[in-house]
Amino acid sequence: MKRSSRLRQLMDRSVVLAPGVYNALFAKAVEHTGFDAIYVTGFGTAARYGYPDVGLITQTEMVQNLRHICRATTIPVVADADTGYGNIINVRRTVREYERAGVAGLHLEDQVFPKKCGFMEGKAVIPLEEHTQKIRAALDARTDPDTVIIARTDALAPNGWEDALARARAYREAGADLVFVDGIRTLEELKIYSRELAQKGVPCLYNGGLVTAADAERMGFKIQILAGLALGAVFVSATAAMQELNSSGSTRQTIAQFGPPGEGETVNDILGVPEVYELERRYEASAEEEQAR
Amino acid sequence: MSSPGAQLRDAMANGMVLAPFVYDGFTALVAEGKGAKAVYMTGHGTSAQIGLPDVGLTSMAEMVGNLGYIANAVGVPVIADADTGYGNALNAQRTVREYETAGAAAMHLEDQVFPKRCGFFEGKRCVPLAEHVQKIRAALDARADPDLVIIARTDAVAPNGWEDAIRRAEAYREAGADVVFVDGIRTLDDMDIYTRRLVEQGVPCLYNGQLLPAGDVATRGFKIMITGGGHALSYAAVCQALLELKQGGGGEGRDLERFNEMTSLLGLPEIYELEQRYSTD
Repeated sequence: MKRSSRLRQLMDRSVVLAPGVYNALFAKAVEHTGFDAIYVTGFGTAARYGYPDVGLITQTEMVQNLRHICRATTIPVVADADTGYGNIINVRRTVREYERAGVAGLHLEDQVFPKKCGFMEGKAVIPLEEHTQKIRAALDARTDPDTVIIARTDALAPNGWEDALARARAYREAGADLVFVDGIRTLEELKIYSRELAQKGVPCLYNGGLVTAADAERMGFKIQILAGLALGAVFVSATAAMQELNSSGSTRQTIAQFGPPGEGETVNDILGVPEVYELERRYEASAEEEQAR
Repeated sequence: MSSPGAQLRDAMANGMVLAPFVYDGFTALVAEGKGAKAVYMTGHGTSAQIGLPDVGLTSMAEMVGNLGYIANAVGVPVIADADTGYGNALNAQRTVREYETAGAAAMHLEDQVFPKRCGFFEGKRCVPLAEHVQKIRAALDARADPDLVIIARTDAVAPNGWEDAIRRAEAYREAGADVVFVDGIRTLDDMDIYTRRLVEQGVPCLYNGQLLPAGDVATRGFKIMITGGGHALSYAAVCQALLELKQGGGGEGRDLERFNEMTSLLGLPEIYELEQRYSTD
């Protein structure tokens, strides 16, 4: 089954919990741990390249990262596509490039280009009508009708709930498969999101960990992403390692603290080193063949 | 301002340079933020983050791409893994030029057969000593900046034993390598041989590992130590977070403090400042 169709099937069943990663190694870890889907964060992808999430990273870099992630995994990948990297023409290309990279779903937001992380200060949004057209362009650009197009609105922080809700409804009406109100900071906000949209038949994505997946399900959400999961874990562990290295000249305690990864799978195992050895044996020139030559 | 290579040479003149393993711009920023004076870009980690094992599948272009991001992100010198130079002496020359342009302060070239494999894997094989001597000479000749530090690595301990490894390290040094690097040091006995037979004979050496704390490695006279958890530690930490989530975790809310620390590290305050400076309002 195509990953896009699989994502739709999963959403029909229950909330899809997608931990956020930004490279192929961590994406493999998500699949290996038994999750149903992977979320690829733009914040993390920007961080990986050494930049804050303020629209400095190009579509090319996002697509390149997605290509590696999709090749390394088999479960559905939901990807951050920021503003689509320009106008409706750019959106069309973005959808096609993301599809070709192998994503099952992607979200497009109504921020002014260049964008900012949904939780940062100083966000600004384009007119509702303009983003509605972008969503239509995205839907039309799909070569796979099952590719899940998620319309994100960043209007909550700059404009308040009324505008955010009006936008979410308009994007859904334009045909978006899901809507995504980003920048939910409190449980109160999450409850409004649930009551006004998710419980009213609008398929919604929630980004954050204010509630568990079981609660997100009860609140009516179709997808829950934890965009910052991998980056947070890396930040905490790498910071601890550096502090230990400074104080004792070693990182052994930090390495022991985070222990061997789940079920004894090492990085080399998960990257397929055993398969490499097997392939080498399989394609080794046999002695007889060499003799014959 | 002095070149990255010159900066690294200055640091080496003042004692051992301790360069933690990093594999992307973010981990490089974390290391620099916590006071690292240099960072080391691992080939194993660069391969891992694009989903590949460290067996010579990752191309030079992919390594250079990653190196560019890391060197842009931090101000400290970057020591970079350049595997075998991705082919023969001519490939090594192009590799040197590309790494230099991308911002490397130092790079190491190893004497494995191409395609290579991680220094700690089974089944390593080496090219003849004379061939790698020529590759080192080619690399030295290719530098635009004479301060770029060329590190000659030998992988000969595992397949050929110490005598061959020492002969190779000496020959590479004689050919002009700035530093030599015997990889695959697994035991303290190995470490003692490395110290006695090369470091104490006046050969500038790099140590890769964590058998001893940095202070002890510096006392032995090594010039560079590359160490740390790198991507394996990150992978373990991510797996731990995933397992907690899988077991019903989450729901603990937002960690605003961590978010702010991360965005500061990534330079968000400077972005806001720049927006003000170039604003038309």
